[in-house]
Amino acid sequence: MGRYVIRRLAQAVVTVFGVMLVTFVLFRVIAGDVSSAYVNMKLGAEAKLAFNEKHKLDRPEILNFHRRLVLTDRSQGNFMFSVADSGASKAARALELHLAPYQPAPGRSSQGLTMAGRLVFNLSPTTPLAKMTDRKPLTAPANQSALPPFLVITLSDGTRLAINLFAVTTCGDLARAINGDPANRGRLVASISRWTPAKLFDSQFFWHLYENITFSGRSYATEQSILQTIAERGKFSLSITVPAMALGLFLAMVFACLVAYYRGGFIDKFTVFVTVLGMCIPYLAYMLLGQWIMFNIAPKFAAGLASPAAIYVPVAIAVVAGLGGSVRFYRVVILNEINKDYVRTARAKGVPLPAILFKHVLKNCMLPILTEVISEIPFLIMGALLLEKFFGVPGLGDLFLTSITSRDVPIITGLTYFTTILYVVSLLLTDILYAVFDPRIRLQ
Amino acid sequence: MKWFYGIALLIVAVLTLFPLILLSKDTAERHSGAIVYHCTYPADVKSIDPATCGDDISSIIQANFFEGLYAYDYLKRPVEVTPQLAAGMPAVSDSGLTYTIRLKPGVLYHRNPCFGKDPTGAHPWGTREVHAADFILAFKRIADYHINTGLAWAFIAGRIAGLDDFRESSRLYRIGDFSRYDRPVAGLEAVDSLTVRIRLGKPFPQFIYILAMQTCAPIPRELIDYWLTTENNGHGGRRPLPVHERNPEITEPGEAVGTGPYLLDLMKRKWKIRLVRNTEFRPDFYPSEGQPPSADYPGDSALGLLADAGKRVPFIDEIDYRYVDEQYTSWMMFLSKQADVASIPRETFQSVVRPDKQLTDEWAQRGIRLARFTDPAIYWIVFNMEDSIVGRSRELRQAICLGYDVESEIEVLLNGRGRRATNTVPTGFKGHDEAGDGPYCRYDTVAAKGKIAEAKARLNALGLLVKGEIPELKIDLSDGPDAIREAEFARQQFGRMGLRIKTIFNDWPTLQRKVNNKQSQMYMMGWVADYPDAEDFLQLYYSGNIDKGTNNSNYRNGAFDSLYERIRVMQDSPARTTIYATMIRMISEDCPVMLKYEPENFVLYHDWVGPMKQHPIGYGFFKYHRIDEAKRKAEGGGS
Repeated sequence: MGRYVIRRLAQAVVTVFGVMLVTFVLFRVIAGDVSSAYVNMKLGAEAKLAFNEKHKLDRPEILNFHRRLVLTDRSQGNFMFSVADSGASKAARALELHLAPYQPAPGRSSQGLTMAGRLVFNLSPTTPLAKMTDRKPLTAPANQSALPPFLVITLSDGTRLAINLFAVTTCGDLARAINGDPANRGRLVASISRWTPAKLFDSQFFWHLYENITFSGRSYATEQSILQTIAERGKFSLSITVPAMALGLFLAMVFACLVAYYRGGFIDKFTVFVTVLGMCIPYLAYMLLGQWIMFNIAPKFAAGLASPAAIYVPVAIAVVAGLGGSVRFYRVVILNEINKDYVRTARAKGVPLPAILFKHVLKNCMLPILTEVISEIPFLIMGALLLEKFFGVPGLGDLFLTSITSRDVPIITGLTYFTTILYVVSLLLTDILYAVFDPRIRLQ
Repeated sequence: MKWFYGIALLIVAVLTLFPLILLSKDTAERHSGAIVYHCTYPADVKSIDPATCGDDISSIIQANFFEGLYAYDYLKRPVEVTPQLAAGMPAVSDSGLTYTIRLKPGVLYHRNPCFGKDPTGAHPWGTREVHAADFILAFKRIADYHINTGLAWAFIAGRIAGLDDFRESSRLYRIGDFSRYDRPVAGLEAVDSLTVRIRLGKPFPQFIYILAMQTCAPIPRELIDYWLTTENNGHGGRRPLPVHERNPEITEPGEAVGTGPYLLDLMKRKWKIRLVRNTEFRPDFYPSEGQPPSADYPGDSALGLLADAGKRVPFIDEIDYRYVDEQYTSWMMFLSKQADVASIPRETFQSVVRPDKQLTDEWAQRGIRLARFTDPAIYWIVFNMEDSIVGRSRELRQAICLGYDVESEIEVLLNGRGRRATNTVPTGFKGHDEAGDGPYCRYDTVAAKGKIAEAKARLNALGLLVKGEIPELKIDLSDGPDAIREAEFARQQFGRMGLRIKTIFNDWPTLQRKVNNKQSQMYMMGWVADYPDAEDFLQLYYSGNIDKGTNNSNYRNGAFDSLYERIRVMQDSPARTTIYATMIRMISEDCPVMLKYEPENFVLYHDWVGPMKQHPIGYGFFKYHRIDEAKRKAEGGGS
């Protein structure tokens, strides 16, 4: 048994990894540019860059073979500096220099300020500068009196390094120009970032993996962590789905037993008719009808959670809507058992049917029913989408739906991952339960 | 066996009844028996931080507890800016570059733990007066690189001297390092504790409207030092938060320290919001002057809007907002008297509102009243001027303007809730009447056909016709609930003109991306005025704004640009209005957009709600509203 469990767990890890890869491809690659949903277009391109940088969307997608041009401040962080362009050109923006976190450390030797250019594949000293500036080559204008694009780096003591970007053609030239500028005096060093194998995993996919495993993702819209979101809203979803499942199961079993007892009689036929009818009525109709009835009887309970008891309105609707299908299913399961030989023998021997039902049949049915119930548990947390929307219950299902349309990727992937984990664990649990309770089954 | 079934029953009972315990804390209602206003809101509040406020719902909620230097007068129309936390209108220097603003003395913040305990012991927490430095901190936060500032920054970017440099240098700081707020900004000066001096880089006549947005609400430094720099240590005290864990934005209700008439008591995202009266709100009074009667308006006095003139506000004790996504549900809540205000769903509109835009008798008898107001917005179809077909052929654009039956669209798709826009600036804005109706803003199928013939001729000369016909046009729509009907209507209209068209549905992020990348040939969009000045609509056609992202039709016109550069530094004057008229006529002639309608909104409210006047642009008018609780109880309304 132990080896079986370990093997299944290993399989589970592979499954979860596969799920994360697929959700990553679906939501990051296909969803496209998420920043336009969160960054007002009136703010321009810079705000988009800032957003992408903050959420690590500027990294390459799967694996990172990229390098950057890096400016390191060797003056122990004593001089803050900024980069600007000469106004007429947009050279600074073209290089997309953006900043690593700055650590002001008075009295302590810091690692120095690093400014890093954009990631470029296979960056080397011979890479043409055009590759770093968005692939538009900086051509010198025919009219020589037009301002050439200067890259101006200003240190906080007023020193200015002005690099003429027309005079440099490759990345190596740019680094040499910065390092060799007489005003520099060794305070600023330009170099190409060192590439280590660990860098390979600094990509969107591996950040996605990391965020999911540690549940450290934060919603793009509200900056709330995924764990807090699940904790806050999950209880509302569970408050609808768990009572609905428990009550629904209970009632369905009661009806199914009744029907099995009166098998073939009028009650049986009538129940079949009613359950099929119940299954045909669309879910939305139940909801609208239920809400309309509640507005006319007790408006306070019709929408929004005025009091905890108001949760039983959507619960009741979920139970009634699902009853048809459940009763049909359990009726079939029980009838299957009743038709078995041992039951026929017991009846022939004079044991009354209720005793057989409660003592033997239900016990044997319980295992398949229970395992089916356990495999439904992972989906309880997501709640009943439509019910939550209509009755104003602030649950996870509603959140999931709106996150998809508003491209709140961390929430979508976080919830998907959470559901996957629950699902994989519950599958394992059902298999173990089977082995424990059914002596005929041997786990290998 | 009995114990098995017994336990099973017990488990079912527990699983069914546990919500009663689990949810009891969250749903505990607390009404002090006071005057409560019940309202629903259809979209979630995105922010309670003035610096990140960018959408309508957030503005409506925030204006109750955050107040800016200026606000709009509740009753006067055309809208007027009036001092709120400022003592008077700003003293503007002759060059138009320096604004000196004196503050009202004695304005207190909401009592909050960030100010420490109250020294007199009468209240749990202390407070202090608003200082000039608090406004400067507010501007710095809007300029902060690390705060997702949304619209607020877009309006002051490149305007205030030294603020853009501040933004650049704030990049150098880590997100959680708030010492950046100590850096001085050249254009923002606290002359003394009650005087703010703002220096602009170049004249900006619309600056007063920016100051009237509550995004510039004052922020006390204590808020940052207490709420954003420390966290709860679990024993009722605070411990410092490490720099890399700090969040620069206000996210929790307790952190929203403002000066407004209401306090943010409770906020559960996508569920409910509760505002309670600020018992120490500064003396503020209901306006004594209103809008006089005119041809199409009976006058504020006749409508009962001046009954409370001169009385101290606010009147309502508590505002109870509930998040309701579905329009059906919020309508039913209104009908069952649980909500005080509602908008009218399309299905019931005909039975509620008569064709002459008044309430039908049976509804009036139920004690329900109707309020009508026009949004300063225009909805239109934008042509991509860089597209080879619609961009190159002015005749085609003019033909589409002539051949599209906008009046019919307003009738059919909007139940008449709108009026046709006649030029690119909304009614009531200076310049609209002077410019007059655009020559192509009418429905004239004969003229349209003539224009199409001309368009074909020109496109033929350019070699752009496909098999002798104008190629299929593509129009992008966003996928709202009405998108399908809009698309159907558009197809019908274009078909009648003899043009082939394909309608493409996009969700909002995709549509924005297409528009930004200039990949869309035509698309349906609109523009809601940010401030009551025609410049807000004219800047949409300035070629310098193509890169900035607000000119999405990619319209380029040198003559227009030079006029724009002139008016953007002119204060309001008849000369400026004349230039506005010229510019508007240029747009009416070139038709970079096909104008559709200005929306009209209808709102129903119960008769225990006192008369309300909707403001087209400003926010924060809940303090002027009245509720008659006795009347509500008499009519069976929810408590």
